[in-house]
Amino acid sequence: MKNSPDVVRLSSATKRYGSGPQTVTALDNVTTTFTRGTFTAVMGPSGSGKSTLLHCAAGLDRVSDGTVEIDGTELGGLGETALTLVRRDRVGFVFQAFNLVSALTAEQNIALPLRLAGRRPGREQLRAALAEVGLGHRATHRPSELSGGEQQRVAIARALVTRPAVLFADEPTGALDTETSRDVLALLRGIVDRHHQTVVMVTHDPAAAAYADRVLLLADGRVVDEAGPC
Amino acid sequence: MLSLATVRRRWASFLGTFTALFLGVTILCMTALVLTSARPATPQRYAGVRVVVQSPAVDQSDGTFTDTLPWPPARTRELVTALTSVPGVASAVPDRSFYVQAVVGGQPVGNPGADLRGHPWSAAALGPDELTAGAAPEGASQAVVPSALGVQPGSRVTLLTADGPAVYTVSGTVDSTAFYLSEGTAERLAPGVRIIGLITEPGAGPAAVASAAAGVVGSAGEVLTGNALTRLEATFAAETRWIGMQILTAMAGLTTFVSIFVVASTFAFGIVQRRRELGLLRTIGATPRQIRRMIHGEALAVGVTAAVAGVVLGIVLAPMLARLLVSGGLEPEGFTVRLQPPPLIGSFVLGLVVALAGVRAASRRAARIAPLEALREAALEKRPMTRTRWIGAIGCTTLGLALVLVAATGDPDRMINNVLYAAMALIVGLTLAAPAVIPLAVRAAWWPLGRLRGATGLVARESALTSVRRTASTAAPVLVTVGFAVLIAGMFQIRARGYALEETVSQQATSVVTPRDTPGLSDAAVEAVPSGASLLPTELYAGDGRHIGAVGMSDAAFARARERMTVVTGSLDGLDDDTMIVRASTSAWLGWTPGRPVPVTFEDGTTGTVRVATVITDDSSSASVLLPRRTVRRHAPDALTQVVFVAGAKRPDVPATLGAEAMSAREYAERTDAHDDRLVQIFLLVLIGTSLGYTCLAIATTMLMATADRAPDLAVLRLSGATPRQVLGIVAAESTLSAGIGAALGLGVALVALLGIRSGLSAQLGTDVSLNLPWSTMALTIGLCLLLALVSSVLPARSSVNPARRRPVGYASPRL
Repeated sequence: MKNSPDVVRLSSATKRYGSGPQTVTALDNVTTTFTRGTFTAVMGPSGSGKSTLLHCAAGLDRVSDGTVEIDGTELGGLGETALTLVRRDRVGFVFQAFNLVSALTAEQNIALPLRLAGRRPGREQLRAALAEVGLGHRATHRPSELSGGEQQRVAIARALVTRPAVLFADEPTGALDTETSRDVLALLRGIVDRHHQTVVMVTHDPAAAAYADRVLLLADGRVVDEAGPC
Repeated sequence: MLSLATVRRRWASFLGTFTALFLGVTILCMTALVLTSARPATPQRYAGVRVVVQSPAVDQSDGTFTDTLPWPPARTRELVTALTSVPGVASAVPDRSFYVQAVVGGQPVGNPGADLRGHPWSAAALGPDELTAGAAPEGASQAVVPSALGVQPGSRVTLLTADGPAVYTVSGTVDSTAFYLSEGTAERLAPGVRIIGLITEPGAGPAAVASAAAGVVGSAGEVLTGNALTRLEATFAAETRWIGMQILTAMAGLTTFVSIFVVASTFAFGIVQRRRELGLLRTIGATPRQIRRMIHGEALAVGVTAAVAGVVLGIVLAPMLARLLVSGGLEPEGFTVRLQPPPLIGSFVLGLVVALAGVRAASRRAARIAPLEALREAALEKRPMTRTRWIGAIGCTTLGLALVLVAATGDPDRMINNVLYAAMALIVGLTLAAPAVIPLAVRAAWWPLGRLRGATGLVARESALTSVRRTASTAAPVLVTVGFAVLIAGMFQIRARGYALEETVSQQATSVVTPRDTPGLSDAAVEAVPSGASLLPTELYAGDGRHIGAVGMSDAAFARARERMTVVTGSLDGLDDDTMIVRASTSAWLGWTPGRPVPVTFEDGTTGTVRVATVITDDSSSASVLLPRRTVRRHAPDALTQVVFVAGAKRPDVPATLGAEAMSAREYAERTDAHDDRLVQIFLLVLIGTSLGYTCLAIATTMLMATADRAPDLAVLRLSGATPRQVLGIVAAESTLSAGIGAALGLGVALVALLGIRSGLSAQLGTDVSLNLPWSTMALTIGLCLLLALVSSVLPARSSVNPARRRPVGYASPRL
């Protein structure tokens, strides 16, 4: 299973919020896969369920019906700690808000997932991760001393440091200006191309989606269109 | 690593926790050092003897610190003769103790609260109290006085005793504070003896002498040797020590409670604030367990630093507390702090335990934070009332109410501490229930105001309702402060009243004669006012260790009070020197029914038969037994009168050499209140100071944290068109609302506890007890809390809405 080309597999994934007459179906019977080494953009209008799809696919939230598999592990039966371990080892996240721990330096932020996993990060490894995102010279700066684009690069480096099977990005350029956005998207593209990294990105910006191999269009919780590279 | 980094970077949010812990450990360490240093000590006067025979102890369970049952003169002589013949005993020396005070330059000298005692010269051998000059007193007109008086042997000195002033020739001086008179004078002033010291022959073992003496004494007394000699501590020293212990224990308990409370609430609030950060950590792979460990690590880092600093400051401050207690009369003179490791280690460990206990609930809540919370923007809190919170709230409130009941009906000695525990439980209960109680309180408080105001009221109200936890954490410290301050202040304003005897005697007086620089009035001072009404207090012993408080009424006092006393059986006519009036509860307790002659032992050790003439209701007198003043004086020659009430227009003229002064009845009433309140003032100051100082800190920290937390909200308000002034108005309104709710709940707690005390006291004293709410304390505390809440919320908010410093839009960018 580990070598299957599908890193993430959703089968009839359904997510409902609330109960009784107030039930909202955020994700309606979605079946799809994300293949190793591809860059997928998930698009759709507000409330279309794209963020829910990302949360469920990443194991941040549980589906009401159907199954989600990450790297061959079915998430449905896992407890909170086991789920955390799956996320820690196989999933990386990048958010719109840069979400760095403000008390720690860039390097310490990047080392955090490894330390949480009880591993001692090598200095070389951290330097390489920072160099990869072009921040080799900013290792000892705290988030407040970095620009928005730099903070997002640190977040990307942190997401990649555990060599996850899949990197999920939720509107990663939402808080950045056009030029910085381009740099960040180019960085993601480069990581897919060079390291064969799987990336799933939620965005509402067609220009961002243009960097992806594949675009998944959602409306009312369903996949309504799927397109190859434009 | 993360814990330390977080503490280092976010030091501001740990400041409150640190300060609370630091102060808590300081106070604990200080009180623990003083508590462990406060031990009974054998009086210096008995330092020279290793075996002492003491008269039989009486029941101490009423907490009145009554002296032992004295031996009458004849019995004393028998015992001395028998004890002298015990092998190894060189001599058996009875000690007598009575009031003596020197009058120098027309003024009594010495602190009236201190040990102003005289003894027969023979008892100087027990110290031994060596002469520094001169010789032993010979004859009734000679005396040995403390050298500190500065009089030389051969000169004359006026000494006040219970009789009145008399002139003596100084035969010698001693280094101690004691006076020594002739055997005859001493036996006349103190016929009853409580202590016989055994001076042993060289080489005689104390244990052997003690067991032989015990064989001789039998049940007539108790032989003390070794550590048991500390029981010779003067009863008034034991009593002050006991009061001191009570205050220190209450203070330590209060401190521990308040610091756990403050630490727990600041930690809990910190977690609510850091929800996103913790959610982020969960997202990038921290397990719930790791989050818990991290939060504990933070608490430990803060705890260790605060505890070390607190112990150090505690060591520095302990001697000052000791001096304060001594000068306040709460510890005997000469009390010093001994530095010992156990209290130091204890308070350090307790500081850590408090930190870890305080963070426990917070760390659990932190561990439950879901990773998705890192992604949420909205500050809407889910389920502020959890099931455990409900269980805790109901449990604590029930426990609190139960404790109020225990305090009201149980052991009077423990009443004050029980009421404090009850208040603690109620406070914890209400704080736990706050998320459920606060919306109700907000709606109730805002209902009349909400329709008057425009946006300010609406926004403040809705924001208080939405962030129930924030409102709760700001209201909680106010609740604690107001609750304790009002309770403690109110506790001491509860006054028993309605005792007919004391009330009528004092009410009908236009002027009074009271002690001046003396512990009480001598007979000479009392007789200087021929028409005066006076009460002479004494103790009666009824066998089997039972003892009763009694007063001797002067004829004038009885004549004035008899109309107001309510007779149950018997008659107030035809009373003579060998009859007594007994309160109904005492009559029932001792089986002293009217007409019955009963054996009663007096202070002089003699036992006489007194007939119960009349039984009166409990609210007729505060003393259990009423006797003619003559009878009391005959058997208690050393008793002092506290006050003489004089009816009639002319203020009596009393010479200052008698250690007395005359004043109007009104002046006296004011002075009594002030005097009664002196001890109470210290107690109040210490306790209220502790809880107030502490919780002010908590109010300020939580408010500061809460306001910082609200900066984005305030920016949104500014963007929606609110002027800086309107924004500040909203902040002020919300702080007032939270503080007001806390104050109202605190008053509620205090009132419940005070009502409990009132019903308890009323049942115990057998008379009406009035509850006077401490309005000034109440206003002061609430005002202070409100001021603090306003200052610590409006000031930081002002800097954040000030357009000159920051653009309102500055907060629109997300920030962790």
